Amino acid sequence: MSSSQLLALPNTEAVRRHRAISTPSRPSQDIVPTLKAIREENHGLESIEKPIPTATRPRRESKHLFHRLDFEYRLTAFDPHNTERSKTSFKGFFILFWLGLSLLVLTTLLRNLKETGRIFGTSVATLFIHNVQEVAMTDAAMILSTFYVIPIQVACSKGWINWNGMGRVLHYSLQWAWFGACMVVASVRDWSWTAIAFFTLHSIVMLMKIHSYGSYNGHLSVIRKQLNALKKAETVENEGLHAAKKEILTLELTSTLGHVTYPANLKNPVWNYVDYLLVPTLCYHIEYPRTPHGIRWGYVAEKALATFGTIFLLAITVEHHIMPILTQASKDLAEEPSALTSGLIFAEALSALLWPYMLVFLLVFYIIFECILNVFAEVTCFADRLFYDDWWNCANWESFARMWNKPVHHWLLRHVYMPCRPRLSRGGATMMTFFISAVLHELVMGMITRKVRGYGFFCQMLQVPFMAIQRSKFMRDKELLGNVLFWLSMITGLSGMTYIKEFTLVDLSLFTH
Amino acid sequence: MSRAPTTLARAFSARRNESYRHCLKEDRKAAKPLCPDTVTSSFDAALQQDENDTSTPTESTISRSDTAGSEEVIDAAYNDKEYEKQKERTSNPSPQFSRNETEEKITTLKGHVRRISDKDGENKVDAELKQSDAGRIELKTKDAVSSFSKDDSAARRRRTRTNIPKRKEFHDLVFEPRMTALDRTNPKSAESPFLGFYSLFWLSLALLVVKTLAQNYHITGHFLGSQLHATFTQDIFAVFWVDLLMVASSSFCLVLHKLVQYGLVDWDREGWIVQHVWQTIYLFGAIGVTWARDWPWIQTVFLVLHALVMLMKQYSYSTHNGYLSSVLKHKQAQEAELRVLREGTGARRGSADSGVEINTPAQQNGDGNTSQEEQHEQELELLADIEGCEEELTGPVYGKIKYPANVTLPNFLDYLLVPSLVYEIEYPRTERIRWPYVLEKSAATFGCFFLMVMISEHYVLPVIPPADMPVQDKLANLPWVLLDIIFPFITLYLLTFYLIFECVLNVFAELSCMADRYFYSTWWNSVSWDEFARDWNKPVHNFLLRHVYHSSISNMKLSKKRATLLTFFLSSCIHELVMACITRKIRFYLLGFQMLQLPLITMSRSRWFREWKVAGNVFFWFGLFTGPSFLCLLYVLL
Repeated sequence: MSSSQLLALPNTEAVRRHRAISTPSRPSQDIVPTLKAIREENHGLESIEKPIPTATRPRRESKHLFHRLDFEYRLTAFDPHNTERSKTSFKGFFILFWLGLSLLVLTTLLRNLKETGRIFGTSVATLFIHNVQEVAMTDAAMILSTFYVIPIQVACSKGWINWNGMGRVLHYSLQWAWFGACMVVASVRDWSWTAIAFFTLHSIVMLMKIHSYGSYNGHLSVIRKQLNALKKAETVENEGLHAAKKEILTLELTSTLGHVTYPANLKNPVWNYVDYLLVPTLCYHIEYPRTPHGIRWGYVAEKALATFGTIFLLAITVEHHIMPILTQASKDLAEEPSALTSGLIFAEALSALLWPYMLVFLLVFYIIFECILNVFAEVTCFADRLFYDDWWNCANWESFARMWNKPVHHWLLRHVYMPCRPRLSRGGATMMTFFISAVLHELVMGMITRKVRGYGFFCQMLQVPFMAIQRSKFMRDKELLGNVLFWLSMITGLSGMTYIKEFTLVDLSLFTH
Repeated sequence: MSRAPTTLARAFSARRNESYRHCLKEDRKAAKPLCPDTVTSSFDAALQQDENDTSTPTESTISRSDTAGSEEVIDAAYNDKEYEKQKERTSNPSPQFSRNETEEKITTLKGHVRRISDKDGENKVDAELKQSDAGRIELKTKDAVSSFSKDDSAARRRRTRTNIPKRKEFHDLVFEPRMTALDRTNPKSAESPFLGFYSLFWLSLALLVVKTLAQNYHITGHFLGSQLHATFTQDIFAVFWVDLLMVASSSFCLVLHKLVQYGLVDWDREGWIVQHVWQTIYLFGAIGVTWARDWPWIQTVFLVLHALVMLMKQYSYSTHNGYLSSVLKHKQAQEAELRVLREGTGARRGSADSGVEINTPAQQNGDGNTSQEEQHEQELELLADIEGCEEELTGPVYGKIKYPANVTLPNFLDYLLVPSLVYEIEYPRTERIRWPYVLEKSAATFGCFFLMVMISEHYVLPVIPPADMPVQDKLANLPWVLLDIIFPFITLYLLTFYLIFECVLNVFAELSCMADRYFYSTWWNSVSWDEFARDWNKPVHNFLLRHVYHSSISNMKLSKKRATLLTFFLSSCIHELVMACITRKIRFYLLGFQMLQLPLITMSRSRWFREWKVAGNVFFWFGLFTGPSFLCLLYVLL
């Protein structure tokens, strides 16, 4: 199922306009060899790209020096406004899911009322409320501190400093110092683990954003300099090549939609940067497709409501279906039983946690990728809402990794995989991307548990041999089996891994506020 | 209705026939007319139709076919023009019937034939148009009326319908090759973008079983609970023999219709009375056995439901065959009359069975006298009538079997196997039995059953308070018990549905090579209760539609609304009967709840619900969530 089939284009008029704009800005085929030459020149390396068998889909040769994403006019799959979605004849089961969940929460609350005399438990609420002001202030300071990237880029565009020299060093050293500071702040403060998770994840998001902003703008400043040099050149050896080079460089400076050319985006750098921070993507482009209908506040309200509703459902589920099991297990383990008994306790708790964890995963996914990102997209009129693909149908881990978190996937593709590509083979670049992703995941888990265990890292790297198996001849055409195995490993892996983590949490007595 | 002077002096039977014909007609309206290309095309219809169904939820009969519409348009046009023309010609003789008009006629006929052959694809009608010297236009077909080859059946049907405008309009509820929506092998469903969640659902259930087994082992030392197992196996051989006897005794209908066929019993006079008496004995016999042996509820519910199924099958079989026997009689009478008529006129043509001829007798004899014309018209009408009867007596799908030939034991046994409660002389068939498919569905059946047993044993039974608890405590406990069992119950409900309509019926369909697997529509998208009632159990719905709804309209002259109410009430009574058999209590809770649906249906037709469909669907699911579990508790506790 391709994404285009799944996610309808809601406004064909806008799409057509978008296509009409975007098509002519693509360079003609004859300049591709020159493009390659410039690319090699820029990297100073021989391209080791081999022709790729195009059995599955024809790979498009990129027309740009810096990898660009094709933003389109799309909606998310679960969005009720998605017309394609509402055509599926199984939508009743979607209703069943939400109704079942609501009833589950209702029954849980009623039972809680019967047993304790109160409707709500308090432990999760405590987690949320604990030190909330401090967290908010720190978060705001963290966001504000990223504005340091603007003066550097302005200086680069004006030619005061050179990106390839001073600019790059300044940007990256500040970037990593900033990130380190964030991590230190998060780990020394007395915050609840939810606050730490939020702050760490937000810091990583900001890190990705400023990395993308800095490297892309820096790249463009270099290209502009080259173009200016070309224009100034008095003696030209090869007229044709010269013209082609000029065309490519001009193209590189222009956005895909064709409305903005490089330094123009830094005309009002602060506004541009704020907009970039709000837009739900991690990849900086000088122009994004926007919705033609403006902000629909009804839509924003709907999604915001959904966010809070789902968070409520999530909190209740965690409070009543996860925490009691964990507390019980840690209590049992505190008596220091024999190895066999403790193993049994582990197994029992694990089996009891399978469903709640799966549910929590689905809900968190829904909150982030369907609700929050859509709210930000609507507020900024961002038109491309492909925040996730139909990962639930996927038959292997590789496609899951590609599909379930499109913004991060795009970022990794653009800022890790592609820059690695000229130096490493395809497999090597994939491994590198995977490694970076695993390190980031482990960082989050480490921050939450305040321990570096490497379980998560190990599990994630374990996916590599799994992927090899899934790619084998036996598994390749068995999609249903693959899908079932995918879900199986998803359910067990998720709870298993988090379970280990939770035990370290229990040690820290984070749950017993 | 153009009807030849009838010698049938049986007013009662005529009325009965009329009513049955009306039912068939209505049924046929509801379904696609069958032409060979729909027979060969597979599976496509199901989901398409689902969408149509949901889009027109308020109509009592599901009007779902575009082709039906278009065909009717064609026919209507043809009927109006051609029939009028023909009439004109027959009524006022030739002089003004010019050459031009003849040519026009030829072109239209040619067009019609082309249309037929185009529609039929490879099954071309070997037809030729000739303009004879005398100016008579003949449409000759190779096949005589009496030969029923598969190829031209559709074409023939259309042709005959053009000759006889009203009476031959009826099309039956047509069975066609379709697949169930939840079938793994259904390509339409495989296209759904949310297929992965289907895997998740089954996987979660499987993991639930693993967890429950492990927990059970941890606590009791056994993997499986023994409570339900003991209940199952109690008296199981007796159940088996009684069931077998029940199925075997249903061949009473076959015997009855053999007698009808040999003329020993007249269906319209005493046959149908015998049938009804037999059915009453049958039903109460089955119920009596369950009460007498004091079987536990599982055995009881199985036997009672099976008895009801067999009852519906027998009723449909007998009514349909009885109707056909009347048609056969009528046809024989008409043929006799035709013979008399022809002998009277000196046998202008050969026997009526030799071929179809569209004659323009206008120019036949320039000085044709009136009596001859009248006679000719009469003859035409008789012929048309006979042909209509022939069509009625012939199998609707392949046209290979004609009425009296279907009253055989193999046909009856096959009908018992076929997962349909509505009898037809022929059903669309698949080419062969796919044994892996049978195996898969059987495995699914047992797996599903195992799951259901497990869920009832571990999540429902422990929660239900003991019977000896005082009523006040029971009432005080009711809400909490209800909260406990709604989730297991909705799971059980979905599994029961899946077990019966996806697994068992598909196994039977595959074994009997039945190609039409439209056992349920997309009821999960229902926005109202009437839609759900129509969609979730298609076989019973079809039965009720044909044998209760339409026949009550025509037999008892009820309005549509009242017929709906009657159907609904009858269905509720049967449900209550089953509940009474299971619980051995007559409480009318279920009846009350089902009747409660009536105001809900009215409500769902209100503007607010019609505009906000999601709310309707949420409301529906809420009812399905809480209704069955609440009812069950009521029956068990009070």
